[in-house]
Amino acid sequence: MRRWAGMGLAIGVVWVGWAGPAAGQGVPEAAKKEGKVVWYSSLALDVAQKICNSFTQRHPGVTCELMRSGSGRIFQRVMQEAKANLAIADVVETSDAGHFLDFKAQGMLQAYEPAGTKTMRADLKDPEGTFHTMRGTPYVIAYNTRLVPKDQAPRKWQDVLDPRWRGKVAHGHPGYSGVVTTGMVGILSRYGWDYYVALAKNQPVLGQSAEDPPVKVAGGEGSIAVSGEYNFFKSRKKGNPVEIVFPEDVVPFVNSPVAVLKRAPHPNAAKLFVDYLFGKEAQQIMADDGVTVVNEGVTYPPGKAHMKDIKNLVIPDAKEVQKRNDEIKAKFRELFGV
Amino acid sequence: MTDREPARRDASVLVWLLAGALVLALVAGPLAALVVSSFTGPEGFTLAHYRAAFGPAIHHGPIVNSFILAGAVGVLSVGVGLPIAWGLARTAMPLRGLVRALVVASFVTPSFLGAMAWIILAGPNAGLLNAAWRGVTGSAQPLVNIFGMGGLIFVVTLSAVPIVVIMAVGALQAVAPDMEEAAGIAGAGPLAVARTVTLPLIAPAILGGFLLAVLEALVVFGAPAMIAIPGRFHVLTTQLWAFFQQPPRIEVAAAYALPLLAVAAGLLWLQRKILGRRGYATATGREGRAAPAGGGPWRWVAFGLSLAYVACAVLLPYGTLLMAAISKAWGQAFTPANWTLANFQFVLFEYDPTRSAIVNTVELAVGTATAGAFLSAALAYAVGRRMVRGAAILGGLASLPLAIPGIVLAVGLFIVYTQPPVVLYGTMWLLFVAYLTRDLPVAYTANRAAVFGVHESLEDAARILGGTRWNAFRDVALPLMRPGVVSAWLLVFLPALRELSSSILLFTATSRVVSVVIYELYEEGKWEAVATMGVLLLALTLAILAVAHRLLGRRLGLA
Repeated sequence: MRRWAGMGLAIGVVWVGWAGPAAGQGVPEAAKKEGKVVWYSSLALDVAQKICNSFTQRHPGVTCELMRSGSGRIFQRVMQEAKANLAIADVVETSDAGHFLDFKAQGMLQAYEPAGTKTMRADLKDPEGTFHTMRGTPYVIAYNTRLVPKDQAPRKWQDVLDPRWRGKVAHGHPGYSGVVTTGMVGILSRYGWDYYVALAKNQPVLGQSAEDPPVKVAGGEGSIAVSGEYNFFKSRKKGNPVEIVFPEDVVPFVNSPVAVLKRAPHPNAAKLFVDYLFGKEAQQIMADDGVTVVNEGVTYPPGKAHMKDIKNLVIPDAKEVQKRNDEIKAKFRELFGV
Repeated sequence: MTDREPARRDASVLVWLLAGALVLALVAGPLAALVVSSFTGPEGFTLAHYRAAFGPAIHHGPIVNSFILAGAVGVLSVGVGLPIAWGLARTAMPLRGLVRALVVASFVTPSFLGAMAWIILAGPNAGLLNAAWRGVTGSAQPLVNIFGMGGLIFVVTLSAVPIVVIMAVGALQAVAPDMEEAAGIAGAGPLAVARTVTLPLIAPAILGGFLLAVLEALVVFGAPAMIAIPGRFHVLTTQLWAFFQQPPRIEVAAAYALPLLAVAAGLLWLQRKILGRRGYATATGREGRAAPAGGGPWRWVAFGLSLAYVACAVLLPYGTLLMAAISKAWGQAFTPANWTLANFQFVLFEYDPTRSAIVNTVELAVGTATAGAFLSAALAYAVGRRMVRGAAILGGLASLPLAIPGIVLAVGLFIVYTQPPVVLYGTMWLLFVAYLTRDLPVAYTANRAAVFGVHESLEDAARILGGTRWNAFRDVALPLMRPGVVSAWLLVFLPALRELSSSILLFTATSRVVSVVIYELYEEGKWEAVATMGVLLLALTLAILAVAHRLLGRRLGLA
């Protein structure tokens, strides 16, 4: 729990770049025989769709069937299907690293090292190789530029507690969002529960998913908001009056692992697909949309901050997220009433 | 009433036995799965789930809130819906056709879509109405804050009023006008006629509508999810949804939901007791359709109420949704520079799930409506004529799914149909079964009210002349029940278009429906796309209804 300092420095410097699978490799016969791969993902739908489509173009004969849902529901779905002995999903990817420890504990994951991830940072993957981080999002603050002049915008987490934002802070709910839970773990490690006791006094405008605060701040129902950076970035790109602030004290990084299920009905197609996900093409598709990816060789759209430029970036440990999950939900309920 | 069945066996009774068995399988299966799982722990029988569900004080509030919501919505829906129905079916109120169409439009709207529009309109900080109010009065306070129990009651009532209107209009059209005309001739004014003659005659429909509105408010999920959580309170369904977040505590959810089932069963039993006393048969074979008789000055009251309702339920919300649908970014000002058709293009052509979802939705809605209307007509007939022993119990069973929140029913269905002998998971049949089970009670209630309106003497005449029960049903009773059967069809078809709470748990990549697509877009924060799909859903529904109206004409009743 005290690895923050070392990780914070290191992560800003070393994102490992690696070569993805060369374009135009032949399709392994086994994958073609299986014919398709079923991918459960919490990535934004249009991006996931693009990846699916270009995978099929790249590997004709293997279709990609996408099931996009929130992290919590994917977890629910995978667990339910496992309990009912239904083998439907091949590859799972969500924004809640704690889930993957749960999957692993139940023996549901297959150890597989996607091409080129051998030299990946240790804190971005499972030591037994059952899951690897493909992308992530920094947990940040945003504000509505029409309601908040730049000099009054919050600069760090403590600023959000200022009474001037009473009733005007849009915030998600850890019970429905892995992004919010992980972000909270990051802030709790720094400030403890006193922070959220004070936040509750500020009566935030609560939503469910991590996508709710960006909507509220775009419309002005919240003057400021707290959530993952990706959705704020998308909102601003669309033309909404939203500006992003990377808090000066700590920026938790919510990482999204990918894994192949042990009972995958199309195991070879699954492995081929996971290789593709970590390859340059898929990573660039994500980067083009503003998703922060693990591949350092991609180019981001203008206005998107690069990982190495973010100070105090920390990745909450997956074990801690898993351990504190129940505590966070219960305490949140107690403090905020829902 | 003594049974005058002839000594020989009437083979056509088998039809009813089959219908009964089907209903039993549909409803009892998931219910049994739920009850069993609520009492089953890792070591067998346990009460631990009930303790976990009802022990914590924090779980009591949602129950109270739900009952407050349900009671208020029930009363308000009848208070608003009944005058509108009377205005539509018994007066010369202007714009009746338009009001009818807009009531249907409201019925078709998923509750969370309406909630979303009203958040845009009445959110305390940025709501359009509040911004206008602040602009006009200079006050810093909002005019209305949608995030509270009052706001929730308002939004859910808007969804529930059409139920009352459809049932009341259906009943009014089935009632012969003779008695009302007689009262008019005897000197009673239109209000007195309505109060002393019409109202008692359609009492079953009113009661049925009230009960359905109450139950709708108890099991609705979409609107509370959007309004209650920011409002810092839970209702039963949002609390149940919380039980499904990780780690999912399905058995606790089942335990939490079962008392609700008991209450609803009680309400339904009460309804039957009240109905049992009076004879409501007025279809004597000589009726004509009741011509709107004017209604005097009271038709303006009905008109005013109708206008207020359609403004709040359809015009304001869809206006807002349309604005969002044509905006590039709805956080920007609504100026021509911000207008675009890109959202429509995205939703219709670029977003893969849309087309298959539309096809799936229409297939499911038509299929379940047809199956449900006829199954429930047969069942209502069997129960009304007391054809098989325990028919009354069967009738009760058919009404039970009303009491089960969609999410919980979905869990029961999931448990039953993901294992042998019948595995339906991953196919559309699972959704078909889910919708049929969910909507059977509503169709059944509508048909039951219709059966009451057909006097047995007509069928007895048919059987004395040598026909079987089946002949009596198909050639005599069914045609006379037609308004009831048609309104049953509508009452299953229209909600099937917007059903979310079961679909969200049971769908797979190949069996997506429109409401799931909308909800997924909402979860991703793509409000412009959500608004676009909402507008398209409405257009699709109205198109289908227009076609149905053309084919069936006035016999469609409401639309």
